[in-house]
Amino acid sequence: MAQSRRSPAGSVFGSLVLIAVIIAGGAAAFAYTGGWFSPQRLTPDKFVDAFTPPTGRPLGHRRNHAKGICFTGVFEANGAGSALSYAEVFTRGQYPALGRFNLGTPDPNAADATVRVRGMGLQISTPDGQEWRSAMINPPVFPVSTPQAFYELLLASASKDPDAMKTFGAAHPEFAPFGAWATSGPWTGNYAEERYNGLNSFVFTDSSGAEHTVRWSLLPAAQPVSVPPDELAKRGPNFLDQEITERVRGGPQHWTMVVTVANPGDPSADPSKAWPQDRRTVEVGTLTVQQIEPERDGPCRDINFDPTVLPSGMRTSDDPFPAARSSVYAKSYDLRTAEAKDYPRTAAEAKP
Amino acid sequence: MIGYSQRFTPLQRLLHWLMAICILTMLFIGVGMVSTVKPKYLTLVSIHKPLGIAILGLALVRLAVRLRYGAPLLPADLPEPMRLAAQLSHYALYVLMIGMPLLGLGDAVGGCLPGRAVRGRAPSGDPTAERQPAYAAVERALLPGFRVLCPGPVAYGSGALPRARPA
Repeated sequence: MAQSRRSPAGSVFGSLVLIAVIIAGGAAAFAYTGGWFSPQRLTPDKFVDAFTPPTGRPLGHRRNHAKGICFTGVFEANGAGSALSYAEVFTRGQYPALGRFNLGTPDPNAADATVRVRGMGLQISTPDGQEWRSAMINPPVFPVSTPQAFYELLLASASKDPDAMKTFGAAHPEFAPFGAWATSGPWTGNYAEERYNGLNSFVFTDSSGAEHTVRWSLLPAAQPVSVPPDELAKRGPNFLDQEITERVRGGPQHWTMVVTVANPGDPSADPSKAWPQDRRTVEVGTLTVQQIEPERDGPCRDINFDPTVLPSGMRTSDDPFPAARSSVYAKSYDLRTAEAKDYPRTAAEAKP
Repeated sequence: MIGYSQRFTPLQRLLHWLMAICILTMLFIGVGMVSTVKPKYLTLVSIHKPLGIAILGLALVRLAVRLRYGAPLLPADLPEPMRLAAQLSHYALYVLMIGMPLLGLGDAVGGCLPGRAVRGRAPSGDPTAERQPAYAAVERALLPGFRVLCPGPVAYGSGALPRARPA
């Protein structure tokens, strides 16, 4: 600023230009960060919009996996998981579990037989105050390799162009294994016989500090019985909810949690690629579903099964999906909590 | 305004610039994290929360220091509307500096913003049916607050920088 004493007029002009440049540059950087210069950027809002079904926005409901039913139960760890992660949830013992059986559809009123993908949201709580949340589905692989490709899949499947899916499949060869499962894989007649796969990879840290890249699955104790889809179509629109409610009333249902450990070089960033069959697996415990409750007033309604809510001893890997899911689930959560009046609770006063 | 010194105290200036950096960073993180689905989303969220708490703490200290030491008088030649604008914008700034982190805190604790809990640390519970309207209201309030706050640095830069005088 010594400059200003020598030539005040020029310096004032220079300062003003400098200030204008700084402010304009800052504003431009801000706009860039917000994506105003990159309309192609994938945002949570875009994803949520792409999930909108032909039946309209499912006000008050999850924007995907919109139809579901709550359960409560217990996860009993056998202690074997401690070899992979120091998270308390793997220490031998029983931990409360809460979850949601659901259908992979953005339409909360879809008929059960019309939805190919079935899922389970799960939250296990431990005495140290931590939670492990996971949202798993029944296909053996994810349809695509990246969130971008998943967005394109949503657009293609909603497209009126009859060749949209063919074009998509040609551009995304990784879709083939999922496509094969979806068209010719077996269907079961209930939630209890499904195997629920985490598909995304995560990194476990054991007590020695060693890291293990893993995926996990819940294997049903109930023996799966294949039922042809046209047979299922003859059942009521909510046969899955009714079946699981009656089944659990008759006795608790069990799943074994199996953690699969990747070898170096396995495709940890791509959930559309299965890992070789011979990979080390560890049975870490048993999930027991003890009670079913309708979602409307149930304990799972207000839970966001965000797969990045992990206890210490677990973290996200190079798989890009958990972060994308977290960002989109948060958006979905914000929307549906603000829309609660469109999906009113019925028995608030009847709660204990 | 108790004191009438010529300048803000060194402590006030330190707080000012520290908070300027924090708040500008926060604005960028805020606008960035809601517009991406990339893995950096998780990183941004994990910075957003502790930084918000830091801003709240600094703002409270700043308020206490301001009440104790006051502020220099505005230039005598400042026209009355500008004088009013300067005073009102100061009040607004303090309201936002304290209010925005409180809203965020309400979001994270009261609503227990699931999945946005401090990393590795689970929320104590998601908003129950009773707390949900409050959660939704907090969510709704954050955005207008953000919109008011965003032009702040631009307005400040345009208004205050040209008036800055060498020490």
